[in-house]
Order: sequence, then C-alpha cells, then structure tokens
Amino acid sequence: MFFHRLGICCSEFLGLFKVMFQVVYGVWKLSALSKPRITIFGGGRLDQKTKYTQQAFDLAERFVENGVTVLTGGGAGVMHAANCGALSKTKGKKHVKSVGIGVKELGEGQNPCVQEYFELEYFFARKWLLTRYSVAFIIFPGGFGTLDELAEVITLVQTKKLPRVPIILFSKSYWKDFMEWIHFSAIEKGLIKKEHLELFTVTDDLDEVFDIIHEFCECMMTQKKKK
Amino acid sequence: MKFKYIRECFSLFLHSMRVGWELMCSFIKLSKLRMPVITIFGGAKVDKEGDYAKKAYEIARKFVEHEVSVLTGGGPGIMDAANCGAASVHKEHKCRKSDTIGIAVSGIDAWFASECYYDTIRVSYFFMRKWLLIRYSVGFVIFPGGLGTMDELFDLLNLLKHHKIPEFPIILIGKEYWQPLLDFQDMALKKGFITDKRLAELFIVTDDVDDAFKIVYESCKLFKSK
Repeated sequence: MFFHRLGICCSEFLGLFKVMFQVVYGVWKLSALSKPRITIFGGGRLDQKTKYTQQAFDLAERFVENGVTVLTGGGAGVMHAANCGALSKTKGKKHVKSVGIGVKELGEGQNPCVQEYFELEYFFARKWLLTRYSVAFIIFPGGFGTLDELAEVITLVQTKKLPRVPIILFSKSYWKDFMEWIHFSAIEKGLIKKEHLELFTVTDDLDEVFDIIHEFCECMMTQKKKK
Repeated sequence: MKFKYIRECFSLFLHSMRVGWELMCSFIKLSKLRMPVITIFGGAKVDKEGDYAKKAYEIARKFVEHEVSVLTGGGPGIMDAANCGAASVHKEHKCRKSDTIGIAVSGIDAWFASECYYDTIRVSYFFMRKWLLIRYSVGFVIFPGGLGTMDELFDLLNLLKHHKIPEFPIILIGKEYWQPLLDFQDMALKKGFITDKRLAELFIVTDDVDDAFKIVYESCKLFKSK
C-alpha cells in the first residue's frame, strides 16, 4: 500500500515537472511579444467562409494594425481566421503578431497562419498561458472548449484572481440561450449576483468590440508610462 | 530588456515550484482516501436549508455509506452540505476519520469556516483545484451553481470530448435549473458548433437523487472490480 502510494506520487511529480518545463518555455516565448496582447477564443469546427470567421478575421486585422498582438488556441475555425487576419497585416515585417498555443494529441494541429506556435500537454496549461498573458478576451461562438475558456475567464475575474479586464461575447443571437440561463436560472436563484453581469459584454458590433478594447489598452499603456 | 524577461521567467519558475509543492502535498493527502472517489460540485451561494443543499447532504451520505469517498470544492453552500453529509457517517460509526476532503482555493471565501469536521486542502490557484478534483474522481454530481460551477462543468466536458479522461458519468441535478443551458447546447448542436452527438448524451439531467446515486455507483463498482 505504501509503495503503491509512493509510486503514484512519484509519477505525478514527473508529470508535473514536464508541465512546468513546458509552461516556463511558453512564458519565455510569450514574454518576447510586444504588449498589449489580447486573446480571441472561438469554435474549432467552423468553416472559413462563415460570417463569424470573417468577422474574426477583420477584427484581428484591425487589432494588429493598431499594434496589438493576437493570441489564439492555434487550431482551426475561428482561431485559424483570427491568426490569418493577424498575419495578413504583418507580412514583410519582423514583428510576431500572430501566436497560437495548442494542446497535444487533439488531432487539431496548427493552422498555417501562426508565426509562433507551441504545444502543451494539458488544457489547463494552455488556459493558464492564454489568460495570464493577455489583457482582453473576445469570445466568438464555439462549442464546449470555448465555453470552458469563457467560464474560466469569468470565474477568475469574479473571484479577483485576475484583474478586471474586458470580456466580450460576440454575437447576441448565439449567446442568447446562455444569457437566458444566467438571467432566469442563476440570478433568480441567487447563484450569480447581478453585479457579476457587468463583468462581460455581449454585442454584435465589431466597432464596439474594437473601441472597448482599444480604450482599455491605451488606458493601461498610459498608466504604465506614468509609473 | 533581456534582463526583464529573465526576471519574469525566474519568478514564474519559483511560482511553479510552489504550485508543484502544493500539489505534491495534496496528492499525499488525497492518496489516503479510500478509493474510489467521486466529486460533488455546486454553488457556494446556495441556501444551506434549501432543497438542493439537502439533496447534496443526502447523496454524499449515501456514497460514504457505500464506501465511496466524496471530494468537494471546500466552500460554503452545496459543497459544505456535501462535506457535512459525508462527515456525518463516521461520526455515528466512530470509524475512519476521513472519507471526505474539501479542496479550497485560498483567498476565496476566506471567512468561511464549516461547522462540521472534515479535512480541507488549500491550493493557490483555480486550475489546481479543478485538476485535483477531476483527476481523482470516477464520477461527478453537479448541483445548481453559478459561474464557478459552470467553469467546472465545461472543463469536464471539454476533457471528456478530447479523451483526456475516461468516460465517467456526469449527473446534473435540477432539471428546471439546467434547462436553458440544454437549450443552448441544442442550438449549438444544430448550428454545428458541437458536432459529436455522443457529447450531448454524455451527461444525464435528473431531479432524483436515487437515480443519480445508482448511475454513479455503477461507475464506482467498475473501478472496484479492476
């Protein structure tokens, strides 16, 4: 029994060591990128010709034009579109503006538009890197993976483990049912406080998304300079 | 400039050493538990006298009576109710001290102290808690909860989807409460964001505690026979 337990602990320790190494390597790569950095989350199953991917493309393009670095999950669908949008404005320049962080053994693989890409062993390490090293989050429609990331970011901000950052859910019609759950189940039963609704914005307007985040980034930059 | 990167990486290295140390301590504590283990998730803001909290108490008690240990998030509300339910068994039988552990995140609900007697592990980050809870459990019962519970639910589903963990049963309690979320999922399925039909059947929504217990206990039996 004792040796069994010891064995489990040792193997866990080795696994942890590997993850730690990967995360530090990831941070090494990420810290070389220019600030501010934002993350675009979204479904990996979407076709490149749909409305949402086009919008992700446009948005990423605009951000890169204004000197913002775009991080994504490095996969297909919305992530692919966002990376491509970011890449299209950096061609011929040296700066790295389009970054993907993937997870091993998903069968997703990296999309062709990332300039910098690395893979991690576990999901939590990816989420950790994506949430810690960016200042704003845009969440496009997506499946379970996207929902996971959305819930994680909101929880971290709600419990003040992350500073208050803009979180934007894109497409009102897609998130309608989700918001209904929050309004009619969670808030009514008192499981989510009403003030937590202010932590994120739901919108259909690309300009609004851009304005909110741009303002926030500039605000941060001026604060840094004052210090 | 280069120096700044090195400093940043070094501080992260120290951080991860701490994370590793805390996880090791938790592993040692968790490995003392009687296997198999199941996890009960739920909201912290749920009224302790309420219907859901009572159900959580009942189901946790039942699990411990059938020699299954119960893990929770170590906070107030549903989590505390489940811990108390599990702890109430050995109080009566005066047998083993711990069949239940709460894994709390430090800095959250710091004011909270339970009336019941059970072990708590404190970790410093959310991802560690989720990691520990999900890694060691063979079944999950999810009671109504807010954003944190939703986080845990989708984390689980995402891991299941990518076969990062085996297919363990996930039970959602409270049909009425989760209905809008199910509608949302249907819509996502129709629009092609969720392609796998299997995923939609991964979790079971019920109001009946006995049903939930039976399904999760099957999974525990499988674990025991291994």
